[in-house]
Amino acid sequence: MKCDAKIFAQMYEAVYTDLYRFALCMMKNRQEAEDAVSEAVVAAYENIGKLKKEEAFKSWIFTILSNICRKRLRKAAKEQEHSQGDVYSQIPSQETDLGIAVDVRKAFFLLEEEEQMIVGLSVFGGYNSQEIGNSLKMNPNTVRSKRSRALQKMECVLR
Amino acid sequence: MDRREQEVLDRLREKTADVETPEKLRPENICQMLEEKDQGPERVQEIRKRTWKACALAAACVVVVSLAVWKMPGENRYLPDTEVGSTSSGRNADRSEGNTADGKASEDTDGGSREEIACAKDYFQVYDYVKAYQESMRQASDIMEKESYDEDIYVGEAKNSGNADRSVASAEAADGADMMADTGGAEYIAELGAADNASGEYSETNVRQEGVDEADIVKTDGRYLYVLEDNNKEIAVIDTKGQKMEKAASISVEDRGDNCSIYEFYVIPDQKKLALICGSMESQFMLERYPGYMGSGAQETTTVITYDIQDPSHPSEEGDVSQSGNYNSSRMADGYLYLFSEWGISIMDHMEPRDYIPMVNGESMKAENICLPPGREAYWYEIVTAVDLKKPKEVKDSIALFSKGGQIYVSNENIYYYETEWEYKDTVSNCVTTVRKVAYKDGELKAKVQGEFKGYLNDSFSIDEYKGNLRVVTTEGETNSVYVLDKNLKKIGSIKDLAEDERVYSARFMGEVGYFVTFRETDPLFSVDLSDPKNPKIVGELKIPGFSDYLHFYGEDRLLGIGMNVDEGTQITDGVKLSMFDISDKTDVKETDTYVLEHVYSTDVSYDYKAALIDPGRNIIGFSGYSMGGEKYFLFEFDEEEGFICNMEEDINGNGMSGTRGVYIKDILYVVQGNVIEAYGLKDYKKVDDLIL
Repeated sequence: MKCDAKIFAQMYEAVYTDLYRFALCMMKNRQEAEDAVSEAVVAAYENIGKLKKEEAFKSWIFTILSNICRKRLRKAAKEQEHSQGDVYSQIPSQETDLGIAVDVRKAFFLLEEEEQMIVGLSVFGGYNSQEIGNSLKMNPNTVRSKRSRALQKMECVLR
Repeated sequence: MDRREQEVLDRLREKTADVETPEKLRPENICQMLEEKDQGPERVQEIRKRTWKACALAAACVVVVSLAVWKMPGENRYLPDTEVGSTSSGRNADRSEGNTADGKASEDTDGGSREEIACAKDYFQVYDYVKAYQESMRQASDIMEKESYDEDIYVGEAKNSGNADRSVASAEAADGADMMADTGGAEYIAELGAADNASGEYSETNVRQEGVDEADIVKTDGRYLYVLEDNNKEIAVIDTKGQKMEKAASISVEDRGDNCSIYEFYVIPDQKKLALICGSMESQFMLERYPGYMGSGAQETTTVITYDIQDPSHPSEEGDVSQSGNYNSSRMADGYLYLFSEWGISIMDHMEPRDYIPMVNGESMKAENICLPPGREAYWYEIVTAVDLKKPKEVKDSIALFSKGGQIYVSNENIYYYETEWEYKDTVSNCVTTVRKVAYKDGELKAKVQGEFKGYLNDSFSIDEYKGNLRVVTTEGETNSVYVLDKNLKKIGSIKDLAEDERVYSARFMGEVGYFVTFRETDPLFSVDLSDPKNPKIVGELKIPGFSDYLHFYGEDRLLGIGMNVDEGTQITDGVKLSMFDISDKTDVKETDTYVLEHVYSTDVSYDYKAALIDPGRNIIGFSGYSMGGEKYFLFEFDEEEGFICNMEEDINGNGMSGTRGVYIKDILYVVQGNVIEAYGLKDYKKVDDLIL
């Protein structure tokens, strides 16, 4: 579709709070979440020509954002591999300004990255297993069983 | 999705509702940023650079290299034939038989290439698969960095934008399947009781395969009701003999720690035993090993505990068996309980056997009992253990299928483990389902063969064994197919390109005939003649509005469908629908009667067959449905003249996390929801009693 910055911003307005919350749960702090969303916005805007229907905007930009988060996390994990021994400093402490309830942060922390994506897409994207399967390229059944397990883990922490 | 899961999602939503969005991300600022970008590309470059830098600095606490979510570009599937020499044949039952059968024409590209299941010869070999997986994860992350956005990122769009409401609704419905049916591929149960219960005095759990019992959350032995309480810690034993229901005993796992909860259980009346399946999460293990570890390495264990219930008011514990992983499902046949759990490996840099070899009853499994996957990578196990309930502390046999995560179907002789692998190319998704066959008999497990076919299965009713052959109805891309595989899981017959643009909603096989329902705008019920396995034929196709999610043979020549009605004008589902099909002539199936429960917008039966109470002998069809006013229990009978007759429609007053069950003992129906049991007379359908646990 054709689109200028204004139209884009209109579509974006409907989804940006969810995008940010999603990024906040995936990434480790506010700054990173913000950066991830910015990157997704730029990528989406540059590629808006490939979006066929306006209705698909939300799922489309969520997919972009989730890919960006994943890429960033993976990259960070790799960096970390090269600088071992620093594990403790990376455990977020209560003092850090997480921008999000501590138990939510902890609950997400219990999950593996893939589970985080699945739960994040369910909560903030409002997607069902089929849609999540499509965007993460997974079997919807696998999505369901992984989500179920992830939520079980989170339940213990969320009170 | 069950209520408990829904609740966690809601809680997350609530707790994040008031998160403040940074100034810079506000739409007006984004708009401005994009406008600037339109004026000069350098600006964007800069943002990119900045964000990338931030990313590089990001200190994610990910000790675990994450799991693969897509198929690795670099991964080649190759047939284990090429490595037979290096694998142990310890577990392979009839290897010679298999090899001779393979001589000719396995060039079939559509499915059914025949393979032995190879078992590991030592732990090193197992580790190779883990390492291969780890390696391809690394490569993938490298590739992702290089790849342009086009390929990877936009896949979601085409898929998501295409299908309208219907597909969403159905996926939501399917979401419900989690706990009970799908995830676990749950199916099963006890014909054992049937010996006692030949006259149909009381109801039994509705199962996938007649003769193979399945666990559930409510059971009865004809006098006592056994009910899993809503806290998942306790099974209440309720005596129904007297005037009023009375709690006679309680079986609790509270002494096993806070993390331990009960999933389901069996009652075996003729052995006077109850076997419950519980699970617990133990994070201690990883913490001990890796101080400061914050990943997901919590060690999950699934346990079967057997109780003697000679005197149900005084149950006594007899012993338990445990294994690694999360409960997936279980079955019981001939006094043996088969426990299925799934265990995912947490990938770390330095791994010892106990990090990647599953445990059964406190011991690491032997390499020869670990079946290698069809590909060359794996990080997931399906662990199967057989327990003789007469020796409830011992493991009769166990086997682990190294895999990437799948589901099970259990016939009267074999366990079929099937997993679907999805591949996305140019917005088209292709998938291949691999099936592995493990024979079981008297608690002994033997890995047999594996095969594959294109497409995915709707649920375990879409896969069925008959006279050694396996029949499946699959959805692949935009069409559907029927395949027949022989005992070596080699494809011998097929029908393809059925019902374009539709997908399978339900299926049921009986002997030489199969029925399945696909849906897009109307609901064709197909009949397949499978009498010649090499040449299956579609012999009937009946088009009707709406669709059936669940099919159940109802006496001779009748097939009951439970599903949703769809308004033909608006294509909106407008109520739960019952259909009765006359299948006396498979080439001319007729829908003789229907009943639409308007304003009842869903039923658990759509995704959990155990939620259905169906007894053609007593002419009872019972299930719960959800309407605006809350959950209700419905009881129908079927009359040849009058069609469906709704005998009962009663509000359900319990409000537990698990599904509702209806069971009967003689002339009383018990509707159990959470901790509330309500009893109704089956003659006048009036409420006679209730009990709150």
